[in-house]
Amino acid sequence: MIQFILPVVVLIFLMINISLGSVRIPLADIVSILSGDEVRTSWFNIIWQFRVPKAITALLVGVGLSVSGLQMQTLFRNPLAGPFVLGISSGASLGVALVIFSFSFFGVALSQFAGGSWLMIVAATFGASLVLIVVLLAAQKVKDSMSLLIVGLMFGSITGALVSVMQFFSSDEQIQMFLIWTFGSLGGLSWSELNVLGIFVTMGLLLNIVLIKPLNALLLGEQYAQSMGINLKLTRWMVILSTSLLAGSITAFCGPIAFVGLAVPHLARLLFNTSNHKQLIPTVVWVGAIVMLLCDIIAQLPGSEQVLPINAMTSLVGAPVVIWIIIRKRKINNQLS
Amino acid sequence: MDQHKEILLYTENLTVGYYEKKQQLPILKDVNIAISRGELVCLMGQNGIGKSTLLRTLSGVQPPLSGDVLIEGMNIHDWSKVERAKKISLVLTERFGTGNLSVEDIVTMGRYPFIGLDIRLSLVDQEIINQAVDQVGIRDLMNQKAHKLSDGQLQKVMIARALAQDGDIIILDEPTAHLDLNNRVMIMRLLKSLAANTNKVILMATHELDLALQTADRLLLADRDSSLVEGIPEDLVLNGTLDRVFDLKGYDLKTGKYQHETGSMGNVQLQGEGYAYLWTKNALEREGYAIVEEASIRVTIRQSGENIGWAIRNSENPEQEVSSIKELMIKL
Repeated sequence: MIQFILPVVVLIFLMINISLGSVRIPLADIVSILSGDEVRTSWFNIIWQFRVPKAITALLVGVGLSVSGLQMQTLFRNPLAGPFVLGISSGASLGVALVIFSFSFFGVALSQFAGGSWLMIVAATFGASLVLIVVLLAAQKVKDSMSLLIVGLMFGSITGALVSVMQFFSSDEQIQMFLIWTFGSLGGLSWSELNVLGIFVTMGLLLNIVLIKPLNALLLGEQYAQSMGINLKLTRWMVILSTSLLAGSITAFCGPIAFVGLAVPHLARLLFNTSNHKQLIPTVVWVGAIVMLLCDIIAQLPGSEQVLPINAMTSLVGAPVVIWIIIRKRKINNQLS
Repeated sequence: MDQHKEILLYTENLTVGYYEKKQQLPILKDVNIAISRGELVCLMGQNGIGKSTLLRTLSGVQPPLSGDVLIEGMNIHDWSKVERAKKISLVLTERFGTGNLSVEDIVTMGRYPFIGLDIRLSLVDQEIINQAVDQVGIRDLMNQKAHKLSDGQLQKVMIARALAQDGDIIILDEPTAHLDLNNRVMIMRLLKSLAANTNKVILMATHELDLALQTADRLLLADRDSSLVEGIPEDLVLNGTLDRVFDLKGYDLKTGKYQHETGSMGNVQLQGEGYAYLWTKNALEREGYAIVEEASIRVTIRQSGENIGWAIRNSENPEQEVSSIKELMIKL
């Protein structure tokens, strides 16, 4: 039942998201514009060049980060795991910072460089996978998830410090460029950039089809999973690959977006009262999309000209949700570990 | 025993242990065992002696330092991971995080080696799951969430999962460790009947000496000199191997009771019969009295119907009557 409601809710939020913006466009006109009817050229451009790409970006970001968070939480058997907490987003930031700041050496502005978006995405994905691999190597040594979490946070600090050092030696212009990137942004992606993001997120999501079984088995612990014929090494690498593609590409284009990856899997588990990934992964996909679209709707401050940075919004929405879940359910741990 | 039965699992000069800085650290050496279908075998030994290591090696998760583990005559490391999972299933001690999984979810995982990535069950899979659920008797738990189960129930679920995996061998590492006495007995009985009815090999590590002695077809004892001794329980009791392996202090295996340091409190002459005599003797011995033929302290048990009385007499005091063993102890 609820599996049918969720897609409908996503569609409704998608429509609300597209209908909001500094220029008021009547809903009826939006519908006809979306169906290809050019009601007014300026409106047509606003919808197709700005609002639709932004809404699709929100959709991809919500889905990608949430699924990545779910994988992390199961793999690390830790309810606090997520692309952000384990330093993966920091890794992506490091990659992006390296690209932005090192461009000064070549005397080219990144915005003028044709392959800029590809370079950013490759750097962020590379940075994300690098940190994830190091965290996983640490996971082989330290068995308890608490230590691992601390290791992840330390990596976050190290990459953060490296970025600070780079900022120290950079021009104001570059620092501003990086700072704006860290605010997170769902807008500003051209259709061609959106294609790139779409391809990466789709690839990352498709990997989950083969991960349902191993992730379920991992809920019983590594020894049981092995005894059921699950290839642990392969599973770990698949999760690394999937999360790097998802979190890496999203962070590259939209900045480090906090909390969605951590909070959505918990929401989905509680909503459906299950940890079985066969039901959980589709649910996380829908809930992730809804949460991100909602955050973006709130960030646009409907009725005003202002738009808040999306990264602030996800934390403002996400943190109270997590606190509420913990207080209401008290046993967030039960869901997972 | 059971010479006519087919041997399923056997080892050839198996040495198990670890590598530390490329140095071999053997824990159990030259293990040669053969286990046939339908046998319930208990692996016992003191803590840290290598029971779990041996089980991990036998289940193929850990490579041996030397020697071979063979299933149906084929080296375990020649089986692929999935093929091995179709032969051997595992039940562990620790209460893992069950997550928000239903009992059905968990038992279904037993079929994972057999089904595709979309974890869709065929009718045959469903039938095998149903059979496992009925054999263990957890039909009424199927829709429960695993984190709401008691330890005993959860362990039954894990055994059902192992059965659903439908291998010929089930290896259990201290499956009764956290359970209360009732559940321990229940699990041991269950395993015993499963071994007999399903014709599988059931190999378990356990510390439950008394239960193992009563249910196991055979014992494997990890001795302190890194060797493995095997035999049927009764032989191992009578020839003293069990005493040696466990370094038992004050526990008399032949009578199944603790030996108290009797006599430190003096001698008592006890007269009486039946259960009243047995339990009075038990209480006196626990307190350090030795029961002898002739002594200055004499306790006589008087029974009339449901009422039991104890009369104490010694050289100094005249006869005193008490109505419970507690009072008897105080008077003494």
